[in-house]
Amino acid sequence: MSEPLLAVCGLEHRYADGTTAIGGIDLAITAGERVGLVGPNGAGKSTLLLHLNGVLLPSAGEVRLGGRPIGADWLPEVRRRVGVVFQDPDDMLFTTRVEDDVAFGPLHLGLSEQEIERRTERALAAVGASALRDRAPHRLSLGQKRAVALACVLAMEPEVLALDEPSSNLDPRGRRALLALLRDMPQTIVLASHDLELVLALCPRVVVLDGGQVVADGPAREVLGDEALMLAHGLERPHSLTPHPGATHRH
Amino acid sequence: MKALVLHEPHAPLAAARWLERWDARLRVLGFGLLAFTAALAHTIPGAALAALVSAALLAAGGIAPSQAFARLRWLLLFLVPIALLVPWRAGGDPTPLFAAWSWGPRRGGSALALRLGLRALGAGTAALGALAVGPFDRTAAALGGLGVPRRLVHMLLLTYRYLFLFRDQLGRVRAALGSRGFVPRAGLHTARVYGEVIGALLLRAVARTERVDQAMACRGFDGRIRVRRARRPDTTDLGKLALLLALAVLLVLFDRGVFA
Repeated sequence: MSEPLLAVCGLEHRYADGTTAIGGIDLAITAGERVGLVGPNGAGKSTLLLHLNGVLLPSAGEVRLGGRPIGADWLPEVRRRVGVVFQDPDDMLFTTRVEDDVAFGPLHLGLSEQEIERRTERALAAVGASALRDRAPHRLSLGQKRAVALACVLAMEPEVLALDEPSSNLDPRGRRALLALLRDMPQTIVLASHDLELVLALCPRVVVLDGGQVVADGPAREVLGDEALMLAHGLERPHSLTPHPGATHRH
Repeated sequence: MKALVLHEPHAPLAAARWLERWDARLRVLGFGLLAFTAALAHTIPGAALAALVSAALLAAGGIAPSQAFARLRWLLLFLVPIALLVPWRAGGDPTPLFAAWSWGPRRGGSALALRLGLRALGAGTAALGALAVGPFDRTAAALGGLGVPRRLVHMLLLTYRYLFLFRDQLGRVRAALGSRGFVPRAGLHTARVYGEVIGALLLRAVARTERVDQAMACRGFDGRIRVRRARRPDTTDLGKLALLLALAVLLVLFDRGVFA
């Protein structure tokens, strides 16, 4: 079997105050795969995402990218290959123009001006935000901010997209647009979300985290459809997987 | 409840091409020097001329007086107490300014107030040319290029951006307080509530700082601010700087009475 693109091996993470956020996770993600991370608040989903591109480094264990352990010696390369989209887009948008925010990553990769321009244009077009190019980020709606935050990461042309609650606070139209956008992405996707319908629609595989441990890992319909498992870990079976005896509607 | 209005950081001043296209580092350097010249003027004519030259340069740079005035209004507000209090100052020439009003403002104090006001106005006007033209991130990078400590430049840049978020959060908290029946009044209770609100917002700001830092690191930020389309200063840029340097030297000489 070929080496997975991302391999999480015995990963542990403890915060400075001694709290264990992740207590020994093993996970392998192959190139092109789409994996949903679900679990209650505090399960360790966001912490795990930040380990995937070396923003956090393990207290024990390791994360391998393309077979090589992620470490301080090659972080710029890791961050180019694994893009993390934060839950709150305001954490990612800090310049005074959308274009400059999108170009921030490519600029720090040391690319040429032409290449920066090409990537900026392409990333904005990919998320349907070309018209926002000259706007001030603080003037955008939440949906627009999310699109631009995604463009910021796409501009780095990563192999892996790690998305933290991408649909939170989006209205239904924004959520539909996000779903359509992510469906067409060629990248490997790791999606942490409480929006189980979104996870189901996008990810064939689901990993359930609770208390910093993997408690289930398998096909999305099977895992998310297990009501007892979902309830035991503070989740709910998605409505679309709920049996509808004598249904007036189908999924 | 009255809506909270905080003034937003401004968009760059719309300026003439010669000013906008000037290399940001040299622009900051040239206008910065002019600001220092105005701020350090010893005489009223020297301070007045420096303020006039700064204003004339901004006008030549296509910046409308109304725009400049809008940016300087806080400075002008700050000058009001100087104009009201300093003329009564005992130092300097104690002769009353108005003979019929012996207890009124003194000549020495009035001259000092005028000089201080002109110096502040000249320096503020020149500072507009240095800092308010062009996108703020470019100006910040220029400050970095001129040796301003990197940490300070980052603080300026992020503060500029996050003023908006702070304003939004403050607005939300005030709305939440209002929805729970809180009416601000002069008193210890209101002061305590506002103290707690500001404390909570600052704590949130710390958490956000950490996330912003992580988000920047995710996109390859290594502590150095890079600027797109950076170019080497050309002879035109250097010529503009030379012109401002010459003006600054002439202003100093005028202030020192060399042309008297």
